[in-house]
Amino acid sequence: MKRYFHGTAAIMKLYMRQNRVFTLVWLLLPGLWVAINTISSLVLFPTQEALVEMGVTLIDPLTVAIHGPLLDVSVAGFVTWRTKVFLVLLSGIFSIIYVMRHTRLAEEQGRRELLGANVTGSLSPFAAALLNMLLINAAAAVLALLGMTALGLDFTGSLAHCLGFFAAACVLGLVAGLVAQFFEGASAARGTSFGFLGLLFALHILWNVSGGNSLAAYLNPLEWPLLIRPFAGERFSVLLISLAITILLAALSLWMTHQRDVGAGLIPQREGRAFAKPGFRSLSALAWRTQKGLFLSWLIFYALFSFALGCASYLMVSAVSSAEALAELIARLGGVDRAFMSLMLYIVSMLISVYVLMSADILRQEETAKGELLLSLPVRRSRFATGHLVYILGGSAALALVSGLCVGLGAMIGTGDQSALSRLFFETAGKIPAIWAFGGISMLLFGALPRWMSGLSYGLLVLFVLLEILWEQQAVSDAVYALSPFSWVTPLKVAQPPSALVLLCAISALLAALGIILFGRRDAAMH
Amino acid sequence: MSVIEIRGLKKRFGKTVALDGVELSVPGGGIYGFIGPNGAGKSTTIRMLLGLLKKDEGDVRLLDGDPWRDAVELHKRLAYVPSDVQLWDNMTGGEVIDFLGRLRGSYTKKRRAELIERFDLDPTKKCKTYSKGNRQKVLLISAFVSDVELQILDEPTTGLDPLMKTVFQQCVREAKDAGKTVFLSSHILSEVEAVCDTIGVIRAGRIIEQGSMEELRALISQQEPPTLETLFMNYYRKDDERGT
Repeated sequence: MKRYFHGTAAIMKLYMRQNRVFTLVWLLLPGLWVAINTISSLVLFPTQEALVEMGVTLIDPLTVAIHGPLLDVSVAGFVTWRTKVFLVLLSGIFSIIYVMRHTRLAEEQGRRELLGANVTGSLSPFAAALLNMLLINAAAAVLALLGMTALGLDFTGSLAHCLGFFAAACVLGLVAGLVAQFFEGASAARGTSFGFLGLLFALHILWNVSGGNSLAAYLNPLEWPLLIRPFAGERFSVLLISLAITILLAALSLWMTHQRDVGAGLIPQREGRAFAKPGFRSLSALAWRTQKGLFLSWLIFYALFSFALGCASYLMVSAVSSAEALAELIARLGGVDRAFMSLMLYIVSMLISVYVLMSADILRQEETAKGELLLSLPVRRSRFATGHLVYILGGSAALALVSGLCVGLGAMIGTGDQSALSRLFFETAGKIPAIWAFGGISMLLFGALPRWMSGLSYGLLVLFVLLEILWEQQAVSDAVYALSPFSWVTPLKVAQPPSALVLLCAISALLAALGIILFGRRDAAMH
Repeated sequence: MSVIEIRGLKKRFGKTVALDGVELSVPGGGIYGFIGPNGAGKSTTIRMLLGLLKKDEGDVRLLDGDPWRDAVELHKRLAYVPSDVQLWDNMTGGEVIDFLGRLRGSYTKKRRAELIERFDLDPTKKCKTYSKGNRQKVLLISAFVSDVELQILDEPTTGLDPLMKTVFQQCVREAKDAGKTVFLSSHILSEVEAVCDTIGVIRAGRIIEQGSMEELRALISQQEPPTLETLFMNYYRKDDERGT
């Protein structure tokens, strides 16, 4: 045993000392989520009648597709029903990332080699990663259990709920540990693990929609929190299946680790192309190569998120109707759901500004890391910058337009209101000038103060968001708030002059052009 | 006719003086060894030649042009290998070679295949899986694959194994035989001694010695023991004495 597991405890401690913020979020979020849901449910449904009423309204296809059937009409039953999918996905994703980081990624980056060269057993680093993952999930489940019982929910049901998501998260982490054995590249292994989770989720929705009680559902971790029936005649025996799968996965992946060389995989790394594609011959093509990962992942996320938001928009009618602060907005836009959507789109546009800054950061990183090489070629500096500007401005505009389209489509399907599509699409499109202002600011900083670019641009974004909050609390005047690009597209102000949008675009273009000119005149490729 | 001509070149970064009146002349059609300790100003000089940095004072001519103003035109006629090799993680070595070659505009498939064979590189691997030596090979192939008048190489062999260093030296000599100029910055003195025709020594932002290998050999013979190493160490010491 010593040969295999010596030093496991020491490595566990070492892992625990790394990524503490990540671990803390993973540890606290499930409990917080359950607590928030419990408190809001207690407030929303003070009586059993209110619950019964709500229980009926909640049976719409979308909600059932995600959450499955409501097993017990009570606050406890409602909370477990609403939180279980999110809890499994959340802890599952954290577990996958954690296990992958300490297995395949560590091997790829050479950290595993360093551990293996020390006085450690051959399986210790892997065993430590799995044990820590189990421990953190267990602690998160205990915290959630404490939260639920402290808020007055019944112990047995709470225990079932927490054990359900604990078992599911652990199995997902163990799956990642097994997948890590197959691939040489960490990104391929991570992609396969998340792909598997996506498949399980698709099956989960399929079963919910068809209403079928497939026996195979007992093998899908996402079903366990439902099958364990918290607060509805708990069936703890489901956990025997989880336990069996856990032992099987752990044993199999440990055996495979034992069999293979460090760094090797069963599936060899895919070979790349020996020759570049004929079209890969310009700085624009290179900019696409470096920007596409960020752009496509944001595009897919925003398309899905916006569509879901649109679909769910009509559920908001009852949810936020009592918010008095929004009374004026609600009156102006004609309905709580419209006001809610306007605010959501406004927040989405603020988030897309983060994309602008990240995309501009790629330009700066390309300059510091590869600028020396690239600018030794017969290329203009301005072409180097504009190649990326296409993604900073065009990419963010595409994100806004796709978000608008998807939210509109979702709302059209969800409410049957045909006018929702064009209304929400153009409303989102109207935010683009404010998003572009951050592109202009970033480019100016890139040309003028490259070393401070990242810090200053993120700092400004935070400042503008703070101005927003302070203005809403009437702590700053309209004149100060007008400094923020967001103030010109906010739905909270009555009728904005259309010329403001044109002016924002003009200023953004001017700042970007100035930044590119300054970049042409400054020392390049300096760290 | 000289390919590079630098007169009284100065460059400051904030309070740090990086170049303090560099005087340098590289004759065409030979191998110029540019040596000096870390932080002496080798890379800064090269970055000035590439038009990446703006001069504070002095005069720089490169291939009869101004490296700052005529950067795009001049870069068609030169190839450069940086000392700190960073490549694109998601591209293969083959893709990098093709991409750089296409942008530079002067390379052939035949020459590419020949160099990949000589440097023994697997062009299908992603750059992130290459070792430092292999990344250097990618850029060396990409430089030698181009039919250009001037090669600027900044410490290009630090990660290469002895066999590849030999291949590198052959490539450099072939370039010289083809009438091209090689500007080789290095602190591997044996390599400089083996291939260079002219040598310039930079120390604290100034050229403290410049001459042909023959002239330098005369200086070396006065050292005890008579090696380039000793001569180099003596330059070091002189500078320390000056400092104190």
